[in-house]
Amino acid sequence: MNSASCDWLDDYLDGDLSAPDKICFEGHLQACSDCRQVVDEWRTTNALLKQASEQLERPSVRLQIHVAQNLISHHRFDVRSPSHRLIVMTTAGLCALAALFVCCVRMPSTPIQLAQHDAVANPSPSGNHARQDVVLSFPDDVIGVPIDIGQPDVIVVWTYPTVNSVIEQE
Amino acid sequence: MDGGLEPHLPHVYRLALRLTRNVNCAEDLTQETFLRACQRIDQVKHPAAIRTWLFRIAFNLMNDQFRTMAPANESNHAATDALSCHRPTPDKVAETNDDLAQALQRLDALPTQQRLVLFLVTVEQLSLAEVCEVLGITMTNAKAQLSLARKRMRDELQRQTVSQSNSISISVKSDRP
Repeated sequence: MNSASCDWLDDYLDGDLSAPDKICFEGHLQACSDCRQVVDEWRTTNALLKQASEQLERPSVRLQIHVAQNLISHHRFDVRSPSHRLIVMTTAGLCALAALFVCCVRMPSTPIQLAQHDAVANPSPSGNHARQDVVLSFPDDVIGVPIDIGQPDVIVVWTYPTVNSVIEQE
Repeated sequence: MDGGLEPHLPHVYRLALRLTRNVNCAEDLTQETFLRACQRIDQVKHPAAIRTWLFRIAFNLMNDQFRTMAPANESNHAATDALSCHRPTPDKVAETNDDLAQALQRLDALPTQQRLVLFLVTVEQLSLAEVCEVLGITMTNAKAQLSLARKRMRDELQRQTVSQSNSISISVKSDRP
């Protein structure tokens, strides 16, 4: 028995020998029955263990179902992946734009609309309302709110910023 | 990438069995491994190495669980051994191939690191470099553990063969008038 070559047995089984050394050791195996026996036993053990584990240790159906359910639920609700994050952010953005659009459409913008809106929402206790036969016109950057002081012939308008009289009476 | 995880279930489960040596614990560990993997799927850079990555998660989870269970284990070794020891039942051994069941018994009888290295190399066909990555050990240590595992498996096989031949000769003698 060539002891130097027998020392290569573990390296041969680990697959660590270079191609020339591997050929050399396989030549040694032809002559050394001890090494050949170890190699044969190792190959048999390998095959046996692999077959045994694959045949006898299969995951149960219950486990397969649980894992599959976990994977599906995670895939459905995962918002951290880039594609899902993009979808969620796009949807949220569209919803915000839609809400903004609805608010703009429904919001009273002109002074007379504001007055009508206030009159409907907060009717005056005295029963007198802002006169509807008066058209109020203000510059775009001025806010004007008619104030009911209890006298139908007098119109008081609160403006911001303060402007001169812009009331036109028809 | 979740679709790429499911084919690895049998492999992760078998490793969990090697780690826990208990069917229920192995199932729990497998489920926990896949949950953790789903949470960290973005970390996978090389899909080809996904199995090694899953094994690493399972191994780390097992280490964490073992740490939390350590006081109970130390206080009651017998109970822990009874709970954790996974052996095919006699009925199962009778039903299935004896050689296969005995091979698994010999594997599970090895010390933990030898058992894991041998399992990963022989059953899962991992390279020693991948084994080092999964178990977090050096190449020298992995080679030493594998060599020891081989020797112990060989010794155990020879011992078993001798005991079987002895029992056969005893039965032959007893049959003689």
